Amino acid sequence: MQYLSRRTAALLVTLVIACTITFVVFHIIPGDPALLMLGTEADPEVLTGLRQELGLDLPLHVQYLNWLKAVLAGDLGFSTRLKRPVAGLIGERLPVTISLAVLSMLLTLVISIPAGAYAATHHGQPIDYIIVFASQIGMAIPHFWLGILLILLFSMYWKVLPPGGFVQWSADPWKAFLSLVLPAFALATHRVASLTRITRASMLDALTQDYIRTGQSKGLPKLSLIYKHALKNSLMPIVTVAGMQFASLLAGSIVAEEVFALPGLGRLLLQAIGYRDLPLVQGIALFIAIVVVLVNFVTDILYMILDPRVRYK
Amino acid sequence: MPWLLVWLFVMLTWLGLPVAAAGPKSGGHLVVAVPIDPDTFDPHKAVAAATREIDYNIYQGLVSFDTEGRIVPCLAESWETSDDGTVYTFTLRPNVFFHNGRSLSTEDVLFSLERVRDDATGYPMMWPKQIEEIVTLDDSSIRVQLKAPYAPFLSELVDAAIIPKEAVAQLATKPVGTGPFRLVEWVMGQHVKLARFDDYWEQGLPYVDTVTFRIIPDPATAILNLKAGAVHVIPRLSPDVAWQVEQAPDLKLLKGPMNTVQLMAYNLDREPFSDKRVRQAINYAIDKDLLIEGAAWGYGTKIGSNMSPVVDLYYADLADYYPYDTAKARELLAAAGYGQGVSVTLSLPAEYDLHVKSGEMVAAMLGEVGIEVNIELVEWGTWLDRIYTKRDYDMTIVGFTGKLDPHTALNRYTSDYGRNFSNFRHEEYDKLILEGLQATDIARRQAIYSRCQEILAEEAVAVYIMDPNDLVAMRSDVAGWRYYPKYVDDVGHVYFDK
Repeated sequence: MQYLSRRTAALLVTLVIACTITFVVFHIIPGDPALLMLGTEADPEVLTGLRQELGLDLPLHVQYLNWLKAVLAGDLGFSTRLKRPVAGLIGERLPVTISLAVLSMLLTLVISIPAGAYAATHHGQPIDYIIVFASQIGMAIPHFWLGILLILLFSMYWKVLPPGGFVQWSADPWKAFLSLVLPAFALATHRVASLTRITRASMLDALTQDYIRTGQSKGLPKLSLIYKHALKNSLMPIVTVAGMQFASLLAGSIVAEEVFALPGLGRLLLQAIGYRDLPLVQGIALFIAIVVVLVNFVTDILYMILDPRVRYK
Repeated sequence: MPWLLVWLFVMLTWLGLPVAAAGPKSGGHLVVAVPIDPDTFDPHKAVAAATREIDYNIYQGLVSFDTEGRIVPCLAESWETSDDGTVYTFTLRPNVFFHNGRSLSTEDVLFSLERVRDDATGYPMMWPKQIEEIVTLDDSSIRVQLKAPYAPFLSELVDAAIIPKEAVAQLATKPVGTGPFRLVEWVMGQHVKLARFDDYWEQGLPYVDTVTFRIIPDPATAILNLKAGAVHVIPRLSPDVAWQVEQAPDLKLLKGPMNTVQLMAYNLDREPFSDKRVRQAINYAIDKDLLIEGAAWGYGTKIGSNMSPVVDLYYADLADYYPYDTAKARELLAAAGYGQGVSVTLSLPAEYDLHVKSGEMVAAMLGEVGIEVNIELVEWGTWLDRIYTKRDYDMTIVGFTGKLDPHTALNRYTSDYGRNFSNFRHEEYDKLILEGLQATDIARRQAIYSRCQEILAEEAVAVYIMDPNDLVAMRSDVAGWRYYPKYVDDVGHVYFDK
C-alpha cells in the first residue's frame, strides 16, 4: 500500500516535470504556431488576429497556468491547427498504435526469448554463432529501409500484404491485422535482436550458477533445468528491457508510421511539432509520460512476482 | 539510401501498352496520394494548401480560374464592372444545387461573403476588407460595392467559397458545397473520400464515381503504391524520384510550371547587400541553367523577376537579364570595394530539399568570384519566425507561391508591406503598385506590372532563379489531368482511359 502511494506520487511528479519541460522547450525553440499555420502567403494583419485567437499574446506563465487548470479539469484543449479536441485526436490514433505495439511486442517475445535461451544452451556451437550474427544484423538494419524492402517483397512481388495504410478494426478485422503485419515485423526486428542478446547473456550467466550445477548433479531433466530454473532466474534483465521496449512502442513510431502510412501517434506528434501545435504536443507528451510510468509500474510488479526478495526490501 | 533505391527499382520492370484515347469515359474509383491531411474543411477558416488542393473539388466561388489563370464564370454566370472599378454586379447561374439538395440562391452568396468579411470568422486574407457593402438585387443578381478600386478583386474572389447557411456549424468536418464531388468520409491520417455529386451543374462532369485522397507521408511509399496500382496519381512528385516513374512503362509523368517563384533573397539593410553592384555581381555569378539542371534535375523554367511565365498576361521575360558572367561579377565586386572577397551567411530552410540543394550550388558558384558563403540550415518554423518575420538574415532561398493577379505577387516588395523581408524600398515601385491597384484597363496594368518586374530585375533585389516544374506521376490509364497556376488537384476532369 505504501509502495502504491509512493508510486502514485512519483507518477504525478513525473507528469508535471514532463509537461513543464515540454512547455518550456517549446518556447525556447524559435517558431510561432500562427506563422506556421499561415505560411508565407497570408497578410501580416491576419497574423496578429490569429495570435490573439490562439492566446499566444498572453504572458508565458498565464498560458501555462491556463493549460494546467484545464488539464486538471480533464480538458486537454483544442489543437491549434486542426481545431479539434486534443483528447479526441489522440484517442483516434490509439487503436493503431496500441495494436501495433502489442503485435510487435508479441513477435519480439516469441522470437527472442527462445532464440536467446537456445543460443545460451548451445554456447560456442555453430547455432550460437548464427544467432549472434543474425542479431547483429537485426540491430544494424535501419527499420525505415527494412520497411521499404518488406513492402517491395510482400506487396509488390508476392502481393500478399497491403503496401501500407490501415483498415479500421471495426471495418474488417482480418484486413486490419494484415495491414499491421509488415510494420510490426519492421518494428520488431531491432527489438528481437537486442532482446535475444540480452536473453542469451543473462542465461549464460544463470547457467554458470551453483544451483544449476546442483540441479544437474541431482539429475533434474535438462529441459526443466533450463526453462524452470535458469530462464526464470535470468528473466529480470529481460523484463526490464522488454518493458522499456513496450513503452517506446506505445509512444508511437514516427519512422515506421511514415513508411507504412499508418495513422498512429508518432505521425501525429511529428506534425504537431512541425506546426508548433502546442496543445497537441502537450497532450501527447502527457500521454507518453503516463504510458512510460505505467509500464514501469507493471515492470516493478513483475519484479516482485519474479523475485520474492524485492518484496521484502 | 538513394543508391539502394536505385538498385531496388532497377530490378522492377513492368510491361504494359498504352491504350489509344477515345474521349472521356465515366466511372471508376480514383486514388490520389497526398502527403498530409487537410486542416479543416471550413473553407473560410482553412489556411493549409493541403486543404485547398482537395476542397477545390467540393467548394466553388462566384468566379473561378482556367488553366491559363484567367478568371472565368463559375457560380456567377456573368458579371459587370462599373467604369470606376468599384461596383461588381454578378448574375447567378440557375439550377445550381448544394450537396444537401437545396438550390443556390443570392441569399447564400450574401451570407457567404458577409461571413468572409466578418472578423469573427478568421478568414486568412485581408482583401474582404475592401468590400463596402453587399446587396442582393433580385433572385439572381447581387451587387458588391468596394471602398476603392481594387483590381485583384475577382482573382481573390475565386477562393471565397459559397456555402449554405444551414450547414455552417458543421462545415469543419462535414463540408457542403456546390462542387463536382461531395465528401463521404474523412479519417484523419488515412484518407479523404469523395463521391460524385449527381446534381452537379456542369454537364457530364465529373467522370469518376469516387476519389480517395490517401494520406501517404513518405514519398518512397507513395511510389511503391503507385507501382502496385494501389494509387493512381501522385501530384507534386519530388524531382529526385521522377526518374523512377519515367522508367516504369505503365506509369507516366506530366510536367508543367507550378507558378512558384524560387528566389535567393538578401537583406538589403545589411552589408554588402545594400550595395546594388554587389547584388548585380551575385546575379552575374550564378548560373541558373546549371542550378535547374543540378538542383531540380532539369525540371524547372528559368525566370528573371518575381513572376512565373504561367501568368502569361502580365509576365515580362527577364530571364536573361543577368547572363552568367563571372568576369563581370568580379569587376562589379571590385568596384564596390569587395575585390578582396567578403563572407556572408546563406540560411536555407532544411525541409525544402530543392532550396537546400540550390543553396549548396550557389555557395560554390559565389566562391568562384570571391564571396565566401557559410551555409546555415534552419528548420521551417525558425525560418518563418527569424528570417521572414524578424528579418534576421543575410541571404536565403525560398519559393513563393504564385498568384493569379500580378498585384498580389508583386505587392510584397512595397516599402511598408509587413512581409517585405528583403527591405527593398523604391519610390517609383511603390507608386506603380498603388496605381496598378486602381487601373481597370488591362493594357495599362500590363505596362505597370511589366515596369515593376523590370525594376526588381534592374535593382537586383534578389536572384530570381526558377519556376520549379510541378511533376505529376500517374498510372498510364489515367487521363484528363489539368494544370492550373494554383495549388489545386482538379479531379473533376480526370477519367480512366482503358
